[in-house]
Amino acid sequence: MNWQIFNWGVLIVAAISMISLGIRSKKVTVSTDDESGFLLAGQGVGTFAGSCSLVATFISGWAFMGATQSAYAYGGIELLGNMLYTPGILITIFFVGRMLRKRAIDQGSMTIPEMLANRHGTGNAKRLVHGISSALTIIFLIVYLCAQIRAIGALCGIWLGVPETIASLVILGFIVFYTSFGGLLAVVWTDVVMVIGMMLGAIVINAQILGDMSWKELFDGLYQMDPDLMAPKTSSPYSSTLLGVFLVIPYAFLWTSTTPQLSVRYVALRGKVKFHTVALIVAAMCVILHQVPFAGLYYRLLHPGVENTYGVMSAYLNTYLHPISASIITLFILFAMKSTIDSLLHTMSSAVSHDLRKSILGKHDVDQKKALLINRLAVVGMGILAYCVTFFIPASSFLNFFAYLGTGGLTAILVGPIFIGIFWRGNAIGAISSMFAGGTITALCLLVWNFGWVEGPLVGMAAGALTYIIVSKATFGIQPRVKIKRSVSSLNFEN
Amino acid sequence: MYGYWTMDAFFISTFIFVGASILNWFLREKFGYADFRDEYDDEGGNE
Repeated sequence: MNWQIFNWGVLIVAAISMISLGIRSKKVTVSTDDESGFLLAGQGVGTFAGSCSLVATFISGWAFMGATQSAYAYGGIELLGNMLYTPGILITIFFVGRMLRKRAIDQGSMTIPEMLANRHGTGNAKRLVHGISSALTIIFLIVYLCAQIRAIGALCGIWLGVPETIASLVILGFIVFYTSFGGLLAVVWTDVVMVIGMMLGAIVINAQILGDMSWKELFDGLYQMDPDLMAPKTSSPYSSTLLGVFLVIPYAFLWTSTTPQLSVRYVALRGKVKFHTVALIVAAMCVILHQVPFAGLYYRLLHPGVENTYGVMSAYLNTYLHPISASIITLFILFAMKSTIDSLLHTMSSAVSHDLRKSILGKHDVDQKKALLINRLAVVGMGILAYCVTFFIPASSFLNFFAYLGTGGLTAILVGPIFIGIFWRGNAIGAISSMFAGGTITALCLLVWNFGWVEGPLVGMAAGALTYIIVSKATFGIQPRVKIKRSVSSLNFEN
Repeated sequence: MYGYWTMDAFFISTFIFVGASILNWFLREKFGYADFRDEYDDEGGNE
């Protein structure tokens, strides 16, 4: 049987389902009298859907492709580093998510750059902060988005038997279609389907590995092959120190607290959603999904010396699973990557269509109907831009590196005005200085000074946070902290 | 435990975060959210 025809069939069925969900979500995008229907799913996302969407955005294809590739190359340190992201997001949900939602809603903010601008300035200063934060969001997210598109092209190309460029174009095409129709709600609904599929995929992969050998046999075999795969003397590539991998926890905490594609989900949750229930569901899902990179360890033990580690997951699926199982799991992995791509695309297009628009037009803003059209066109525009930039990433690169550059850089940019700003609010001058300091230092640490994947962004975050406080304090005489008029929230904070 | 620090840390950390999530859920259900976060002050005061 020609399995590639079967794969095309599976993909077409999945694409039709996603597009139908997108078209159904369209009702919500026009149901509100402002843009919150498109940007925040009408603030009606429930507990289970919200949890699934957080996990889908947080774990993504990076866990399936990037982490499996890194597990093959670096061994157990990748399993640990990958898993330590979960305590980070849980701390955010426990302590920050609810606060972030309350502050955003109190000030009538529909996006994270808008919240940042509302809290730091008025008039032209507010527009400047809004414009800079949205432009930097686009620049850093496009790096992360391109790494995701590259990963999806690599996997899907083999799966469908077409070149990488065609495969990523096909997937990106239907993602752009349903995201432009249904906005955040379409993204959330498709995330629910995907997370369930991703978990099934993780269970099947783990069952295959454990059916062949026990974890002890796997770990012992890898240790005999190379002790550094199981008991390394440093946390490389995360850090050059032994326990530096645990820096992933503060990194993930700050990342999940500040980056717009995750933060917007806390704001989009329905008012009565209980954050502690969300945390419990997220933890359970993450336990299952963190088993995926075991495939990288397993493949390393049985097939050492693979040069193109980029395709380890595809090779594993094609070697060890029945073509039907491999086909369906590949679809779930594509779902995982797709779930991050649609979130990034939605966030970037919001930054263009809502944030940059408001920053440039100010009081001369367009009406609701035109705003919705601009939002939809921005999704298409960002999709085309990301596709064009994607193939500048060298084929031999570690996708995880680009993920850290994009997300770490963006976290360092926003950590001062968003994260520190939740507890202690500075002014517009402090916010702008902090964004430039955080982004520049992170880029230098990762691209020039060869810091670890986690160390570099953490140094950038420290620089951004300190700059925010110091510059704001030094310039309060020139530009005082703005007084915030808290709007009456339509949400019910009963939980 | 397996005797390799990376994998031991992997399993121990998993148990800790799952346990913390269950404990957090239980405490929130029992005591709710009556804490500083409902009345906040981000201007340096101590509400």
